[in-house]
Amino acid sequence: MGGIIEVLLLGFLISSLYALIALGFTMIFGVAGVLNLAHGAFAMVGAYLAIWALGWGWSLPAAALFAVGGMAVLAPLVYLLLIRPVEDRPVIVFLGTLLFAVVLEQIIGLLFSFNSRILPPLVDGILVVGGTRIPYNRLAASAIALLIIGALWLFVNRTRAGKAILALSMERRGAALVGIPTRNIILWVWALSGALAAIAGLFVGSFFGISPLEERLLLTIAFSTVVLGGLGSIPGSLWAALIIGFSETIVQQFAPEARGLASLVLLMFVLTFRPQGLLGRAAA
Amino acid sequence: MSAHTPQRSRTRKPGLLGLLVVFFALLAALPYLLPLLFPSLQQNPFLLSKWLGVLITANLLAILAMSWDLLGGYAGQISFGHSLFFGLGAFTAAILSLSVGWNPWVIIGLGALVAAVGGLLVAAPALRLHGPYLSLMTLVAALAFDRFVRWLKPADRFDLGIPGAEGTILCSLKCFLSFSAVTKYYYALALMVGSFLVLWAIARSRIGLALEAIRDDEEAAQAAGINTAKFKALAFAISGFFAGLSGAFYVYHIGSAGPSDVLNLQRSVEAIATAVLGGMGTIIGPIFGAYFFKLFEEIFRPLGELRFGVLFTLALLTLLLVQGGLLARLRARLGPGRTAPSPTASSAPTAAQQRPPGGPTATSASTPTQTQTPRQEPTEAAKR
Repeated sequence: MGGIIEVLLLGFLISSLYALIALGFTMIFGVAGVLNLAHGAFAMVGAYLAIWALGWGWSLPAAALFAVGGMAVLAPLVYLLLIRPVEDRPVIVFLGTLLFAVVLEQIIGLLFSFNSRILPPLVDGILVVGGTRIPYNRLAASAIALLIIGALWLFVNRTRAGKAILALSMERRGAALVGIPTRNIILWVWALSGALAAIAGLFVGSFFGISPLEERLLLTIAFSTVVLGGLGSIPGSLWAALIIGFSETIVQQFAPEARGLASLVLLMFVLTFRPQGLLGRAAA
Repeated sequence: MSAHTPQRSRTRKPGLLGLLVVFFALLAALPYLLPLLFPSLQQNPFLLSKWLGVLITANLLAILAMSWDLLGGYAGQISFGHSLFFGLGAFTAAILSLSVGWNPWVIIGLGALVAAVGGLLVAAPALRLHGPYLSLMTLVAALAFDRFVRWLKPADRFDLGIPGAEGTILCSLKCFLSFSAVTKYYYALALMVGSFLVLWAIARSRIGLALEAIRDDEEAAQAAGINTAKFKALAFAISGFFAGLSGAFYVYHIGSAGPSDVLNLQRSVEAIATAVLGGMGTIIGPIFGAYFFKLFEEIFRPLGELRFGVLFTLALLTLLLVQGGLLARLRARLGPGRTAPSPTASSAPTAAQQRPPGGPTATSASTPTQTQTPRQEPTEAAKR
């Protein structure tokens, strides 16, 4: 039957997607200390930027680049205009990003529609493993997610700019004192986070389709993954993505009617017994 | 700078209570005032009951938003899952009205009680959680309950389910309060005013004070001898109770309870937007927020979805400008002669936005007259 292999493969595919969605979210919290509840909306807007560009007759890679670049510009702008003025008041930032996400939903819904749209797959073709059909597109998404995570790890741990980000995530004031341009770095992290959100949005859009209200699901995934792993901890988020992805896949395989419930209940248990998440707030 | 200390300074004015009585009296007279003001309602009784229906939902939203405000605005526990408490009240009411068929008010009260217990259940793990972890807990609890209801499909166990709608219980035959829209309106209004009085009394009592202390600095509150766990649990229970009350009455208003309606996350978002629009941490603000929200929604119905975009944008602006203190900062920047369109007026917003994040030294250096600066510094120091 090959059930185990299927579960392993599907679980891995969905986990890497979750990791991709959560990555930008956790970076912003770890480095800038902002819990950006508009992250799901950023991913959604990214997907719609690609849809928009495709409408002009652009090729898919060009549209994807446009989406990623567009979000890399828009995210720091949102930070500058909306979040920076109230940055020292977490509750305002928290509710503000939530309301901004809802406003983005409405704007995109008005410009396009509230119906779901599907992006064409970045890679065509289907792989058949033990009776399960797996589009190459999903494999590509996992590969890209792994590449990005690896590149991010190298960037953070091996380059000067990355080390500056790391320093910032540990102690903002200390980083400023040793001459790290904290304000610029934070803008770059927002740009990176926006780009990552757009990539996640593109893949979600090509797997399941995307609609303006879909961003809530993306936000819930990012939020759950990041909190389960421990806010601000990138390794924690990756572990959490694996746990959530696999628990969902296993439940889907053996008790499909309880799908979606299992990972939520799991999350509640972890929050109850380990309130700081799996890896607490460790350094990135 | 009143923007930073809204509730204390404003609510102590004796004139407010009088104003409130006038406002409530006006609301009570509405079923008779409306036809006088709009002759078209006189000829068409259906139109009148439609508008009364809008006002009923405004009252229910007001109760929900006030319950959110006690937890979010006073205790600083930001809940994203108020749809859970609303839904608990709603499903309890729908199921009880079909199975036992007691007096509606008993059932509505029981619905609220079940939601209060739900609040306690959520509070149990939430007591150890702070900030975003707590918010996620409430969100996850609401989502999990939604999935749970769909999985259970309670509609299958009651004859009156809506076919095709997953888990939706229809109880319109068994759960109606009155055929008259006017009577129903008065019930809803009485419920809203009663909820307001209780929540207002709680917020102004020692409980409210303790909740505010927890919001401002939980550790300091604990050090000062406040049993933070007890008060947080209490806030969750009270908030759950009133959210459940709103949900239970809602079932008696529309005659059904379905997960995609009563458990919709949109309800939580609306409650938050309403509380923010009216003013967080005031209890009374959400009432005005709710009336504004529902009337705007109905009056600008031709605009379609755009009206929600406008409403949420307004809420966002209110949050940033009023609660976030941008308006106060802007006013301080413009100085005492702010009514005069000085040349700095146009550049002020961008200047305020480009200010380094939370730099108390920069703030006090650039605007020596700013009265809010000393208030800001302690919080800034406490944060670091």
